[in-house]
Amino acid sequence: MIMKLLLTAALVSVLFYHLAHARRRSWINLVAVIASVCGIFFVWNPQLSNDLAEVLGIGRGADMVFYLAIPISAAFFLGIHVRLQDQQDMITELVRNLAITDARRPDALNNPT
Amino acid sequence: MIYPVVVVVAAYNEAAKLGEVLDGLRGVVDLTVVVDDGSHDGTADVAARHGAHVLCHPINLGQGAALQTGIRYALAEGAGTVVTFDADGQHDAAAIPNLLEALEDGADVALGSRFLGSAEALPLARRLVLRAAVLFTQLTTGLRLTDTHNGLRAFTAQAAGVIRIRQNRMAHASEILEQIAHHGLHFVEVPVSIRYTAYSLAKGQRISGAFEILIDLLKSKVLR
Repeated sequence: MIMKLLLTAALVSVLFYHLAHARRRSWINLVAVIASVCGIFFVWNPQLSNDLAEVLGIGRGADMVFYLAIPISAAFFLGIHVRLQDQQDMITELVRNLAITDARRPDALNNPT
Repeated sequence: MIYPVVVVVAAYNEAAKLGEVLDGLRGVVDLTVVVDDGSHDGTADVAARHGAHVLCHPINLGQGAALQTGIRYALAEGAGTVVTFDADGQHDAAAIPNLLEALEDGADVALGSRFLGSAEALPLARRLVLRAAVLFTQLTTGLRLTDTHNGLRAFTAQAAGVIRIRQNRMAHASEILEQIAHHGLHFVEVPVSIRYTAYSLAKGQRISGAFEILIDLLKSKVLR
């Protein structure tokens, strides 16, 4: 029971975090919300995960959760990487504009005002 | 019209060598732009003392980003030709007129080639990596070149305007070639000589950098 409560608390935290930080068209948030809800559901209904795993031909419910976690984690990291790349592009543009705006010209150096 | 000729030098912690490099460019080009890519050794001050226009990135972004910054500035200054030139002293400014001649003959881009010219003291391992890069470029872009990672290049203003370097780090050399192929720009290779010194070898890329370039290029294919 203690483990179930701890897992539920962790998953609820993840759920609320992603609901609070939901952005338009952010599939990372959507995946995280769906995964959290499914996780809470299966924590409290382990037999259903076993039943579903059996239908899918995987075996145990724990194996199914593990297998699903791999592509979900991969997609998650890919999404974060894309977002970081977008931010890197913005930083580059900002730095570039600053550098061009503040360019030091030789005449300005020779005749400081 | 290929004039005025503006040379763009991307520099990161090159204070020791940059002055000599800029002195060598004097009289060969009309305007020199140094992009200090977040150096902390006084590179910008050296560049300013040697008469260059100095643009400072407040943080280090990489050579590709610095070149794109310099190219944009050069075009805004009315450049007819943009030349890219390394800051570590391995290029010879005397080769620039040959690149310009190629542009006057109708090329959009003139690419320096150490394998058509000469490469003094080029280590074997680096030679092999450069050869592998030539093969990779031929497979990915269809361009038949002898040297794909030579920083000495000249672009007409029109060609420089269509090329957008988004690879901030060292993969920009391959990206430039991809864009030359994509835009159908007319290019020629021009023999140049490269002087490898202890300084330039220490400042240059590590062999492992080739793998980083490969990963950056693959990421750009998947994520952009």
